[in-house]
Amino acid sequence: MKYSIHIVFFMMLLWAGGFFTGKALAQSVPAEDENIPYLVTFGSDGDTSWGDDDFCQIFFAKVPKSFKNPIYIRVYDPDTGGELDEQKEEWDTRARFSIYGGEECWTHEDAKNIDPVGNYKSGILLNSETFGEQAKYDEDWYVFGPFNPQEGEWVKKLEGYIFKIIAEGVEGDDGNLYRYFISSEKNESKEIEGGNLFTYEYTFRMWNNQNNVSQIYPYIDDETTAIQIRNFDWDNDGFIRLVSVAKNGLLCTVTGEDEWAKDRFPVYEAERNSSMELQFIKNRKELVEDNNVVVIVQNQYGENLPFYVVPIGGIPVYQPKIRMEVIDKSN
Amino acid sequence: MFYRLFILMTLVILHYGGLQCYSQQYQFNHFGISEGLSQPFIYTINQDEQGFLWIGTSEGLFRFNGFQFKHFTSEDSLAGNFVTESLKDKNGNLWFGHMNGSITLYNGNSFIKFEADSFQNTITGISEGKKGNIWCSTQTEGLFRIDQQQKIHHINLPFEQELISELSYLNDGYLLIGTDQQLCLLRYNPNGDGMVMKGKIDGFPEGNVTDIIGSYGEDQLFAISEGQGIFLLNKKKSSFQFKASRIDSLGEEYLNNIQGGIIDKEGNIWMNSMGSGVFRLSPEKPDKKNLHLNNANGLPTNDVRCLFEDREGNIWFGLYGEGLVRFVEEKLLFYSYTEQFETNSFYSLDGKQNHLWTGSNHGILHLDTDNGNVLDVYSTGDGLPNDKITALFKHPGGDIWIGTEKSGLYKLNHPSEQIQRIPISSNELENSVNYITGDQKNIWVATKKGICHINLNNGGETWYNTNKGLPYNNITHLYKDSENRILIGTLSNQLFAINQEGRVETIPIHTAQGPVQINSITEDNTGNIWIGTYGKGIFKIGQDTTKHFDRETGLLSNYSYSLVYANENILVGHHGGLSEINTKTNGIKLYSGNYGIKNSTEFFNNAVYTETESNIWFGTSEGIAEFSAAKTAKDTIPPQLNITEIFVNNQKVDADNNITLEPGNYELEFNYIGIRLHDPESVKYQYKLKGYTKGWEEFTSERKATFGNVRPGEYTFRLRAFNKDGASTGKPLEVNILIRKHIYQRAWFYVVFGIALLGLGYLIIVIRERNLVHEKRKLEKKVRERTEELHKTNNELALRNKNITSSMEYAKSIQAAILPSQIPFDNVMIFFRPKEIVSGDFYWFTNFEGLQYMAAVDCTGHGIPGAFMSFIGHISLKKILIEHKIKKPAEILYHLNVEVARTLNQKENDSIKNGMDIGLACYNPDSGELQYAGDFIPLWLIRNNKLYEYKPNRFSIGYSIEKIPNFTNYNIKIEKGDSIYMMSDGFVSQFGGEEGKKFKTRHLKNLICSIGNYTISEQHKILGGTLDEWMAGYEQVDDILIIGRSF
Repeated sequence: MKYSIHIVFFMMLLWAGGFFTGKALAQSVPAEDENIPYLVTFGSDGDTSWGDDDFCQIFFAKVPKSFKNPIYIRVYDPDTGGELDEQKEEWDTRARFSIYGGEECWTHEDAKNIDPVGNYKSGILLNSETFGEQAKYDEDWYVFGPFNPQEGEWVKKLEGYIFKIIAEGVEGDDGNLYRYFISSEKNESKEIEGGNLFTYEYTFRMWNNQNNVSQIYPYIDDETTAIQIRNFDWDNDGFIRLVSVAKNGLLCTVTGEDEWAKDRFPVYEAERNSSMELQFIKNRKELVEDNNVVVIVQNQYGENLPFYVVPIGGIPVYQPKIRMEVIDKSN
Repeated sequence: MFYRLFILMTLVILHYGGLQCYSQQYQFNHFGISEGLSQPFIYTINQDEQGFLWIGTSEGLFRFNGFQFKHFTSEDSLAGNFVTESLKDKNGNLWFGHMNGSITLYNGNSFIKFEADSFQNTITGISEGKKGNIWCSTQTEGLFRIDQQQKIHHINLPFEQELISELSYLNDGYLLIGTDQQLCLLRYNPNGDGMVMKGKIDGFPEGNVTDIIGSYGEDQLFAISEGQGIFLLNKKKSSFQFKASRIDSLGEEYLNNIQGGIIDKEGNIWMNSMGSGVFRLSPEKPDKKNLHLNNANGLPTNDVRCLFEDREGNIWFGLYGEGLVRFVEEKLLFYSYTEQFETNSFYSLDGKQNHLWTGSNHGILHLDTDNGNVLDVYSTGDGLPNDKITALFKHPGGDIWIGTEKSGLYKLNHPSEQIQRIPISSNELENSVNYITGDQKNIWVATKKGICHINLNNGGETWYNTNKGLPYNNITHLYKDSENRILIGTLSNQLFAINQEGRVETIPIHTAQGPVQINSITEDNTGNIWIGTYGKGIFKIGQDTTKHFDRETGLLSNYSYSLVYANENILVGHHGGLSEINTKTNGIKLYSGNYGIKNSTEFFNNAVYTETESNIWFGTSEGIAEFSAAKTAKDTIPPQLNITEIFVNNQKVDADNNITLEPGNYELEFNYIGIRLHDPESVKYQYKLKGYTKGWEEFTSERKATFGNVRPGEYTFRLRAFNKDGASTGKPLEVNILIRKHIYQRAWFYVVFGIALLGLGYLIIVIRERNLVHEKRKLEKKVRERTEELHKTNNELALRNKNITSSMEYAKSIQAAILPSQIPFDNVMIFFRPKEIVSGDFYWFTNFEGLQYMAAVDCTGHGIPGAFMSFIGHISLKKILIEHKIKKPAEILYHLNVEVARTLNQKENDSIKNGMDIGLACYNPDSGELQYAGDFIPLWLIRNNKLYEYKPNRFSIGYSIEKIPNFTNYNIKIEKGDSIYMMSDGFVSQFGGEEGKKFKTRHLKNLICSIGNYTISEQHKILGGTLDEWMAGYEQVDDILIIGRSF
C-alpha cells in the first residue's frame, strides 16, 4: 500500500513533468518542459535576499553548423515594469541585454563562471540594448538580430556556433522577469533544428501554484564522478529532488533566505554522458509567493556543469536494479 | 544645402509614413548561391584596380568579374575567413579586416597576412593615414597601425571599457573614433603618449556610433548615432574641432536600424539598415525621386549590411543572409495593383497627360502617373462586362472607348462617368475587340472580324474586311500615321492602309519573308514606318528600302507585341523585356534580365501609352511598367581589361607581361576579361598577335584567343576592349612572347655555318685537288708504264701481226698457188671474195682424161682455219682424182669425205667438227653430159632464162667416216646456151639492204637468172656491183664464192 502510493505519486510527478506529453522540446528559456515561468534578474541595487545572488544571468545559445539562415534572439518582456516584473518601490531599474559571439565568447574560462567576474564579457559584442520601464515591451517580444550563425563561436566539442546572452541589472532594485527564444524567424518563435540553450547558473522564479513541479536538467559529462548541487535563497519552499537513471529522487538540502546550501552525490557510470533531473516541488503546507531561486551544479573539481533546456540524452528515467533474495526452502 | 537635406529627410519620413495603394517594384540583379556566391552574409564590398569586385563574407572573400565568383579562404593565404571590413588605399591595394583581429593585404597579385598576435578581437574599422599608414581598430583591444614597412604598431587608447565601432583618419595624426558610447577626436603622437584624447564631438550625442561616412577633405563628413540621428560634422576653421548637427528627422524605427551609408558620385546619399532596407536621398537633384528600397518593392531582404559604389556607378547592396544585389537604374519600374484587382496583368492602356487608364480582367483603373496612386476603379458594378478589357482609347473629347475580348465596345462618358455599351455588331468575332484608335471625328475599332469605322459626326458605321480588300479579318492593330492613313496590323505580305478617302491601299514591305503577322505599327520622326511582327522581327519601311531587325541583329526576340517611338528610339515589347532600336544608328539595346525583368514577364499586345517623350507606360503581366526613355549620356567608362590566364600547350603559365619559351612550336591560349559589372555581355574585344596575325581580329564577345603552331620568334599579344558605346581601354594590354629559336634557326648560326661550310668546301676542294694531283701523277705514271707496256705489246702485237700477216700472206700465196690461176676451160666465171686474207672457200678447176671438173668448196671457218681446210680439200681432190682415178663426182665426194675425216682424225661423237661443203661438176665435152654431186652446195642450171636447181646431199664432207651416205650423182644433158652455177653460202648470208637482212637464196636465184645471158665479165661485174650495193657499209660476214660456166 505504502509503495503503491509512492508509485502513484511518482507517476503524477512524471505526468506533471510533462513526461507523457510526448511533445518536442522547444528552444525557449525557460523550456516548456521545465515548467518554470520566468527567468529573473534584479537591478544592481537590489538585495540578494530577493533571490538573485549576482544580478546577472548568462545563457548560451547553440546553433548547429547545419543551420545556415539568420537567427534571432527574442526576449520576452525585457523591460522592467508592468504586470510581470517584481516591483520594489518605484520602477527604477534598467537592465541590459547583450549578445556576444566570436572567439572566446564561451571558451574563455571567465565565461563559464557563475559570477560575473573577470572577462565574463569575452568574445565580440554583437548587439546590446538597455531597457528601463518601457510599456511597449510588457509581455511582448524584443528581437535581437538577425545574426549570422557563423558570428557565434565555433566550438567543435559542442558541434555548433555559440552565442552568449548576458542579462544584467545596471541600476535600480526591481526584479526583471523575462524569457528567451532563439528563433529562425524574426516575428515568431520558430525553432532552430538542433538548437539548444544552456546556462551554468539558473536564476528563476518559481510558480506560485503549489501544485506545479518544475525541473531542470544538468548535463553530466564523462569525466564527472561526483556532483555538488548548490541552491540559494530557497526560502524553504518545498523539496529539491535529484533523479537520474540511477537515482530515484534523492533529496537535496533546501535553503532558507539568502543562504547557500550544497549536497554531494556520487555519479555512476550509467549516469555519465546524460542529463539528470532536478525537480522542484513547492511547499504544500505554506505558500511561498514570488520565490526567486538560484541553482548550480558542479563536478568533483568544482567546475560548473551546464543546464540544457533541451536535455541531452533525454529526460532521465530511473531504472531500478532487481535484487534477488534467496527464499529458505524450509519455509 | 544642408537645410535642404534636412527638409528632404523629413519628406522621406512623411513619404514613407504615408499610405500607398500600389506596390512599386524596383529591379535588382540578385546574386546568391545559384549564381556562385555560396555565402549569403556579406559584410563588406570593395573593388580593386583591375575592376574585380571583392565581397567579404563570413567564409572568406569572393571575387566577381561580372560573370563568375571566385572564392578565396585562409587556404589561399587570407589571414582569416571571416571578413568584416575593407579599404582601398591610394595605391589601389585592398586591405581586409577579419573577425580574428588580423588583416589581409591584396596587392593585385597575392595576399599578404598581418596577424597581430596580441589581437584576438574583430576589426571594426580600417582607415588610411598619412604616408600610407593603415590604421585599424578592434572592438576591445584598441588600435594598431601598419606602417609602410609593413610593421605593426599597437596603439592604446586613453579610455577603457569602451568598444570601438568606427574610425576615420583625418589628417596630421587626428582620428575620429566611434565607440559604443561616444564619438571622439584623438590625436596620435608617435613620439609621446600614443593616442591623446582631444575631446568629444560637440553636439554629437552619447551612444553607439554605427558609421562615419565620407572622408576628411571632402565637404561632407557624416556620422550616425544609433537611434539618435544622422549628424553632419562641421569642421571649425583652422582647427581640428568639429561641431555636429543633426540633419534628419527620421523616426526611431528607422534610426535604430541604420548601419551606415555612402555618398555616390552624383551626390546621392544612400543609407543601409538592418530591418528597413535602403534609403536614397538626392539633395542635389530635386527632380530625382527619393527612394526607400525594401522587401515590399523588390529587395530580397530588409537587412542590408553594407553598400558600395563601383567605378561604373553601380550601387551594390551587401545583404545579410541573402547575398549580393546590384540596384538596376530606374529605367523600368513596375507598379502592382493586386490590392484593387487580384491580378497583376494589364492588357490595355491609354491616357492623357498624367492620367492613365488601364484595363485588366476585372475592370479599369484610373491612375495618377505622378505618384501611381489610384484615382478611380471601374468594374462590373459600374456597367462594365465581366470580360477582359483588351483596348482603351482616350478620345480628345474626354470619353474613354473601351474594347473587350468578347463583349464588344463600351464607352465611359465624360464627365458623367457613366459606362454605356456601343453596339456595333451581333457577330461574336466582330465583338472581339483588339484595338481602338481615332481622332476628333472618327473612331476606328480593330476586331477579329475586320475594322469598324464609326463616324462620330453622324454616327455612321462602316466595316472593312476581306470583302472590302483587306487580306485578313483578324486585325491586331491600327495606327494613324502622319499622312492620316490608318495603317492596319494583320496577317499580310504587304502593309494595308485606309486612306483619307476611305479606300484601302497597300504599302509594299519589300521583304522576302512572305506573309507576316503584323502585331503593331508605329512611325518615327522621319516618316519611316516600323512594323512589329509575330515571329519575324521588326521591319523599318522607308521610301524605297526596308530594313529588317531580328534576333540575329540583336533583338531580344523575333516576337514583338508592342511598338512605340520615343526619343529617337523605337521601343519593342517582347516577352521577357524590351528592345530599344536607335533610329539613327540602328543600334539595339536590351532591357531584360540585366534590368531585373523576369523571363516570364509578358508585355501585352499594344498596351502602350506615351505620356511624354521620356515616359512610356506598358501593360504587362507583372503590373504596369513605367519606362524612362530619357536620353542617357554616353557611357564613357571603358571595361577594365585583364588577362586572367595564359596557357602554353594547355599548361597554365604565370600571366606575366613577358614570357620566354624554349625552342619549339606552341599552341598559345589567352583568357581575358574586360570587367563591366553592369552589362558584362556587352563588352567587345579585339586582339592580335603581332608576328603571327596581320592586323586586329574582328570584334568578338569571346574571352579567349587561341593561336596554334606558333613557331620560334618574337611575338606580342595585344588586346583591347570596348563597352557598348565604344569607349575603349585606350592603350592595349600587351604580353610579349619570345620563343627561342633552335641553334640552327639563328642568324649567327647560318653565318657561322655558311662560313664553316665554305671553309669545309674549300678544304675539301684543296684536299681533293691535292689527291687528284697525286692520283693524276700516279695515273700518269701508270699511263706511262702502261703506255710503255702497250707500246711494247703493240710492238709485239705489231710484230706478231706482221708475222701473222706475213704468214697469212704467205698462206695466201700458197693458197693462191693452189687455186688455179688459169682456168683450163672457157666461159668460166669466178666471183670470189674472201672475207680475210686467206679464205675458207676455194674453187677447183681441172681437166682429167678429157673430163672437165669444176668445184665450189666451202670449208668450215674462214681465215686461217678455212684456208687449212681448203688445203686439205684441194689436196684431197687432187689425190682422189689423179691418184685414185675416181672420176664420178659422187664417188669423188665419198672418198673426199674419207680422206678429209682421216686427215682430221674426226670421229662421230666429236663435239667440234671441221669439214666442207662442196658442189662438184664434171663435164664431158664429147657427150655433152654434165655430172654433178654436192653436199650443201646445189647446182643451178640456167636454161632459157629459167633456173633449174639440182639439190645436194646434206652431209658435210669430213665429219665422219663411220656413216657415210651415198652421194647423189646427177646426170645432166647440157644444151647450148645453158649456164651452170655453184656457190658457197657467203653471198646469200650477207647482211645488207635497207633493212639489214640477208641476201637470201631466192634473191640470188633471181639475180643469177637475170645474168645468164651476159658475158662472164659482165656477170662478174653485175655480181660485184649487186653485192657492193647490198652490203653498203655492212661488214662481210663470210667468204663469198660463185663459180659459173656458160655452154
